[in-house]
Amino acid sequence: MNLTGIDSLRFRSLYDLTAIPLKPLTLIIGPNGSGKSNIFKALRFLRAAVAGDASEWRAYDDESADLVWYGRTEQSKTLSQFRLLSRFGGQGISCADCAEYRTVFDANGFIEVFEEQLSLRSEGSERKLLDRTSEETELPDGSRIRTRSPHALALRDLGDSDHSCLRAVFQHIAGWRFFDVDPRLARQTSYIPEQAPVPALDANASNLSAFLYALRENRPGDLEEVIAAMQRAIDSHPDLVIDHDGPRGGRHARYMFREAAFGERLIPAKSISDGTIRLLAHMALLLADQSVSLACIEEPDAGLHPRLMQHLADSLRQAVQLTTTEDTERQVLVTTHNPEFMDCFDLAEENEYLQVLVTERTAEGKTLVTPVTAEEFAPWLEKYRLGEAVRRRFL
Amino acid sequence: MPLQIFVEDEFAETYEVLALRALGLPTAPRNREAALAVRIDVEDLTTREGLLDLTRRAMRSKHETILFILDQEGPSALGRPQKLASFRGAFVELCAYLASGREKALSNAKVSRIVCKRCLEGWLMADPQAVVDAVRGEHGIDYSPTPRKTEELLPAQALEGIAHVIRETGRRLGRRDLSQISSKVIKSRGPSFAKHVVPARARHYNSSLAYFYDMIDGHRSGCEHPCPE
Repeated sequence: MNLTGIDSLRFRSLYDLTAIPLKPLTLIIGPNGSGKSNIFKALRFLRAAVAGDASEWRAYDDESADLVWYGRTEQSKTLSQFRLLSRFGGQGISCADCAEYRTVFDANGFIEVFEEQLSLRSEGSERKLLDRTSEETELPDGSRIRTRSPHALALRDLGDSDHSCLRAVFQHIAGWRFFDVDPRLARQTSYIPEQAPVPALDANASNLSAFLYALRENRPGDLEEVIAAMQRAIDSHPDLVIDHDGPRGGRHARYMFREAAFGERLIPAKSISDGTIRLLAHMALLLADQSVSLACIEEPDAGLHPRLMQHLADSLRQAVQLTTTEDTERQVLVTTHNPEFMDCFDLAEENEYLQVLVTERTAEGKTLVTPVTAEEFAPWLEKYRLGEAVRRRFL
Repeated sequence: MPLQIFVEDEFAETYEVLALRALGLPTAPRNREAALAVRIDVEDLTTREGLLDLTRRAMRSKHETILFILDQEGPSALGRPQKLASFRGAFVELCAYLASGREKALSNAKVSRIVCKRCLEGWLMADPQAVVDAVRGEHGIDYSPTPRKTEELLPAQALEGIAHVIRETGRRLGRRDLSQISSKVIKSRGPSFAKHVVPARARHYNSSLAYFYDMIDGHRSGCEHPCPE
C-alpha cells in the first residue's frame, strides 16, 4: 500500500491543494519559505492525530492558531478549520482502487475533530468504511461505536480492527516518520531498549548507536548493507565497529570507524565529520529501518560533498524497493535545494517510481505545488537536467 | 502577454524585476506566468539555431514575448565584439525565418534582441534614486543623486557608481556598514535596487534600457524595430 496523494485545505500555507501526487520516491523542490516543509507538517500532524502519543497530540493544542492559514476570508474573517485528505492505493486495499481518509479539524484554541471519513473508491462507486459524527462512528459492518472524545480520531482506536483496510490505513499512517538528523546527537552513545529487537531510528538519529547495535545482533545482513553503502561512498572505506558496555553492566551502545590508514586504532564517533555521520544515519534509515512506511527527510544532502550525492540518491532508490515489517512498500519524501542532488535523478524515472514536485508561493501566501511533468516545464527539462534548470531559473 | 527574457547574466532575476516594474506588476513573489528571466549560455544567443530553439521552447511554455539580452561588456571581454556581431546576425536570420511563416506555432512570437549598454549595473545606475530608496528603507533622508547618462559606463565604473550612492546614503543614515561598502559586494543586491527603479525616470539616461521598456509590452517586435546600435 502506498500514499498516492494528499489534499489540504487551509493547513498553514497549503491553502487549497487538491491531489498532490506522491510516488514511492517524491522529491520536493522550491525556494525557502515556499511551503515544502508544510507538506511534511501536514503529514506529521495527521500521524500524531492517528497514532502519535498523547503528549505529542496534546502539544498541538498550544499551536492550534498556527495550523490554520494565516490569511483572512473575503469577509475579513480569520479561519479556524482545516481539512486534510490522504489517498492510498496499491496492494492492501481489497476491493477498491483507492482508499481516501478525510479529516476536518477545528482549531479554536485546541484541536477538535469536526469530520472523519474513510472510504473505498472503485470505478465511480464509493463505500464508507468509517463515518464519524459528533456522537458516534459507523463501522463497515454497520455497527456503531461511541465517540470517545471530540479531540480524538476514531481511527486511533481501530489499529487492531478486524477489517483489513482499516488496519492497513492505520498501520501505514503509524509508520510515517520525519527525519532531521542532528550529527551531535547521532554521535552519542545510546540506550539499548529491551522491548524491541530493533528500535525505530529516532527523528534526529539520537539512538543511532543503539539502532546499529540492534541491527548487528538481530539483522546482521542489513547492517552489512549499511556498511557496504558507506564504504562505496566514503573514500577511506571505513568499517563500522559497534561496541556496548554490557560486560560492565550497562546497556549503552557506541560505534566507531576502523580505517586502513590507522590500523587497529579506532576512530570514535566524536572524531567523525558531521557530513559522514549524517550520511551514516540516512543510510541506516533508508536501508535498514523496517518500521517506516513513509520517511519524510528534510535536505538529506546537507553537508555532503557533491560526489556523494549519487550514493545518497541510489540509497533512496534502493529504499523504495524494500518493504516494511508489515510487508508494505516503503515510500520516501525528500526536500532539497541542492541542484547537484537534483541532477542525480533522471526525469525518465518519473514514469516509474519518481515524482518531482515544485513548490511556489503566491502573493497571498498560498503554496502552489506543480509536478515537474507539467506542460510549462517540459520544453526546458528536455534541454536541461533538473538541477541545471533550477539553477538557470526555469523552475 | 507572458514575457520571457533570456540573458547570459548570472543575476537574471534583476531583469525580471525590471520587467515586472515596467508592466506595473508586483515584483514578489515570483510570477512565472507574467515574466520569467532565465540564464542561458552565450552560445545559445549567437546562432540562429540557438535563438530558434529558445523561441520554440518559450512558445511551448506559453511565453509569446521573448527578449534576448546580451550585455555589451561580458565576462569574457575578449571576443565580445564578435559575439555581439554573431548575436546580431543570428537574430536577423531568426527574424527572416519567423517572417517566412514556415512554423505556424511561432506565428505569434514577438522576439527582440537587446544589447544592454554596457552592463546591467549601467541600467540600474540610470535611476540612482532607486538605489537610495532600496537602501534607506523606511527612513527619510535628504539625498537625491543626480542621474547621468550611463550607456558608456564600464561594469567597474557602474558598480563603483552604485557603491558610491550606497555609501552616501549610509553616511546620512549613520550606518557604518553601508558607508564603507565595497563595490565588490553589491552584485547580488541587483533585484532589490530594480524593485525601486521608476521606468519613466530611468529610460532617459540609458537608451538600451529605454528600448527594453519599449519592447516588453509585447506590442512591438524587435524584428520590425531593431535595437539601436
